[in-house]
Amino acid sequence: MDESNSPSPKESLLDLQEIRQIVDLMAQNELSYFNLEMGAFKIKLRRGSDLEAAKDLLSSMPVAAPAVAPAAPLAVAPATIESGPSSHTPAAVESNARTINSPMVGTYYSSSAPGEKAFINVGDSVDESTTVCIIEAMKVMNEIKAEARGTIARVLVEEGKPVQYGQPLFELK
Amino acid sequence: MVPQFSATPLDSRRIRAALAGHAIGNEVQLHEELASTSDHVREQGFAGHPHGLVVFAESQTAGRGRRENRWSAEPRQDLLFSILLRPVVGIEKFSRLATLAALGLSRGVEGARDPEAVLAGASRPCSGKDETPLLQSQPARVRQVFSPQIKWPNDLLLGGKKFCGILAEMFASPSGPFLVLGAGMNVNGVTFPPELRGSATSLRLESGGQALDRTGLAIALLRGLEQALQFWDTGFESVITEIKQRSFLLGKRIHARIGDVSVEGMAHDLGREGGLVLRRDDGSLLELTSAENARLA
Repeated sequence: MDESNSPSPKESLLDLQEIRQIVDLMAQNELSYFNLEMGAFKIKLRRGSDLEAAKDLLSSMPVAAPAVAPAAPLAVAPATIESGPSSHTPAAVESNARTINSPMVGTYYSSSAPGEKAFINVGDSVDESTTVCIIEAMKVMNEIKAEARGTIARVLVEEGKPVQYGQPLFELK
Repeated sequence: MVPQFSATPLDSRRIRAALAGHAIGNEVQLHEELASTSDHVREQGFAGHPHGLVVFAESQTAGRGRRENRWSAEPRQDLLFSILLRPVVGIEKFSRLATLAALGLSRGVEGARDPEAVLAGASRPCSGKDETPLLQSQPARVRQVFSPQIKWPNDLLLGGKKFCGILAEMFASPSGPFLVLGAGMNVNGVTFPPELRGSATSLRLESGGQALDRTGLAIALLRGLEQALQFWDTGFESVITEIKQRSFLLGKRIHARIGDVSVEGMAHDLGREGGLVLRRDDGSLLELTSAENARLA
């Protein structure tokens, strides 16, 4: 854990149990960085060699009473639930690769309807106005544009699976 | 058997007059038949039509629900419409639309409680014979005719059965993103496909079989929507508070699917953005922001 600068656990937006869940979910989904800012509350979690130490630290701290209010959807999006062994491992992306990222939390769909042709496939050329997928959030179907030019090198997400804000959806070449 | 095309048509002039000066309904189109009102509004959106365009169709040949679930209805029985919205809120708040719409339409149905607004135009009973309008036989002006519940996130129910579905879609155009809000409300229809019997109903069925004035109801719905959309950017917490009071699922044990994952638990609360918070058997809380087939376990 990099830092958590809320005044105290009881005053924070997330209780310790929820922070621990986020750490677990980061590990399960191989996420390396988590940042949440809401008003005065800020928390940054960085997953790296000291992750186990951070988990040990959390487990040694007293657990706050269960939160009445749930965390923001960002923190507990369905992407991360019930993530059993290797149920969904995001594809690794080259650090210098250009990607098309999700502008929101939601569920990824490659086509306008089940059985319909995918908006794009590997090898397709895209430009700023090319529709690449649909992200559903709270039953709002959002048509996502490439917002970039290039050729689709890889599809990094699976049909019907939840995605996070900023998560790479496609790798471009 | 309900006679087709004999029912009272929607009165678009009355709708335009009632909504003059309102943002929602500043332009009203009425079509006897469209493939899909949402597809039509999407085309109008790309063509540059302004915020607030409302398109009604007396029948649809390819009406759509979520992920292309087909929605069928007999002509001139129900309300099928879509609205063009060019929001000034950020993309991160687009996901509030379906929740706002569920509340706005619920309020609209309730706002149509005055028999003169909803029932005065009743003309075609289920039997095909004329019936006495409810206004004359039962002048209970203070009685609230309908008390819809919201089944997370955006289905409207009466007596535990669905009578209205909502579809919201966002499109990116060169002039900026716009949204299309589509709704299909069972109003005077009384017959349903076999697979929907037991789970679907209509306002007519829930109000004693009396046909309703769809024009008056349409006006009430659009006013209710406009009112709810005022909370799109700020004050959304009050929307969530009100939806909790109307929730069908809260306090019940539910089952839902997210992709190929099944989840089950007690519907415990709604999150600040409208997500459904489940309390699982191990006591952990889980907030759903997208789920298929959320239903009672």
